[in-house]
Amino acid sequence: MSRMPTTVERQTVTAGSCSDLNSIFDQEALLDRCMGDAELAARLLNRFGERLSTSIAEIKQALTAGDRSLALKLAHALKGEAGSLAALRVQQSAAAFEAGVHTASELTHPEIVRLTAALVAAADECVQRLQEAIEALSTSANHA
Amino acid sequence: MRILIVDDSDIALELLERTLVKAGHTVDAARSGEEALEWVRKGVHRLIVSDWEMPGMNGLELCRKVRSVSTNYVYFVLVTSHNTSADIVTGLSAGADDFISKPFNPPELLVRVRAGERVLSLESREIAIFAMANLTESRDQETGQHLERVRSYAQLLARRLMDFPKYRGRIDDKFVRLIYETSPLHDIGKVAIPDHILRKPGKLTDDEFAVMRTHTTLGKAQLDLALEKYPDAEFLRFARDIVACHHERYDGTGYPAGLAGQEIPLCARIVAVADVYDALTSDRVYRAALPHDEAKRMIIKSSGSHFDPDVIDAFIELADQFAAINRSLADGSVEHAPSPHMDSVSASGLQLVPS
Repeated sequence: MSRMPTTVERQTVTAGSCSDLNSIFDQEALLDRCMGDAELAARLLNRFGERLSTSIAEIKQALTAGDRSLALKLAHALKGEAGSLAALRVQQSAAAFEAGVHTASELTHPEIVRLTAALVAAADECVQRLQEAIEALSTSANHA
Repeated sequence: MRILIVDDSDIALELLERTLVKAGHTVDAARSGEEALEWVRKGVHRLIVSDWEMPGMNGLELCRKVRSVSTNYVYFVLVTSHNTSADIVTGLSAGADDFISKPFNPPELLVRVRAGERVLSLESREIAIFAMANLTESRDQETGQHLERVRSYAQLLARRLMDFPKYRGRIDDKFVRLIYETSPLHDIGKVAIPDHILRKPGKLTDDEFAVMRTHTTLGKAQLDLALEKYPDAEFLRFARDIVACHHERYDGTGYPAGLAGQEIPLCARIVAVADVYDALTSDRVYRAALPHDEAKRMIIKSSGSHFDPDVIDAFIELADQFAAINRSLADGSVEHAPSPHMDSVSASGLQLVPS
């Protein structure tokens, strides 16, 4: 019979996946950027998470429409926001995507397809782990 | 300080705003270059922090626009992930003052903003000094461009002397900048001279002249008071030396203290030449301006008596440039800009004015 994990178990789970989470969100850098304000960091991360699927959809549409310059602009903006919030995986995938689109001969090139899939995966992972990251933020801020 | 922040990302704007507000600044936010330009036209911000990449008008274009529409100097910081030296050259060519890499680090941003404030305060200081000097001029009714010419002559002389081996280490770029900034204050003490003496259309009696000479000591006293309050303000010390000693003569026969040779601060020895050359080449009620060659001859003749021979050596080399400044910063004709006041050269008791 399944049951909800106890508080102790939940903390253990969080601690166990900590390094993994840190490679998705650099919480320390984000808190630095928010000058230790966990509430601000959480609010901005939430806003970022809410918009992420729209941003990805717009990038895909630009690719479908063959609009390279729009795809570049959108990827650059996403990279910038992810960078501001230290959402490392999204930032890295958006940067790789931007560089790929910049140099690719065709937007339908298999490399672009691969980079797009990687960006989508990074965005999904980011959304899935967002709440976990926010909880960890308040813990780190309290310890700071 | 009231700062304008520009970014198309509301997340970036919020981070910028929080950082700056927490440091005590007032912040207005614009979501695009176009919106920022509306603010710039209002002229309320002296410092802008703008993203480089934005849809529509980007940060570079905004910076160029700011340079063309803004009447005041606006300090422009570009936030950018463009970090190559070519990018920096592009940014600087557009008129940006500084860069900060994206994503920004709050302490770094605040350091950049402080640097900007420092630059702006230097500019304000310069404006304040010049406004103060202009005030004296307006009472004195001396012709409009006198201060501009004197500071240009003084700057030229200082820059030339900097290359003389014996002044190496004594005159540097800072000295040149300070003499340019503070030389317009040389007659600031004249604000305390009564009108019937200051504006007397003709030669002064001995008693009147004695009062007139106090403009050096009165000016010095005011600047000494300011120095007591701000002992580290180097420009005040520099201004004080110029005000107090620009009527001293190299041979010790000047006023107010009768200092001689190296006892006279170097900045005052330089300003003395600049001031006298300008007086000689300007119209007075009782004589027309002397031609450059004549003024040059008289000044060279006073080398070692009135003037420091080193400064005169520099003057000889720069004479053509003096003549050029004299032409380009000339006052209006004497009919439009009469100078019903005694000649500052004759006021010092020098017999430089031809009979």
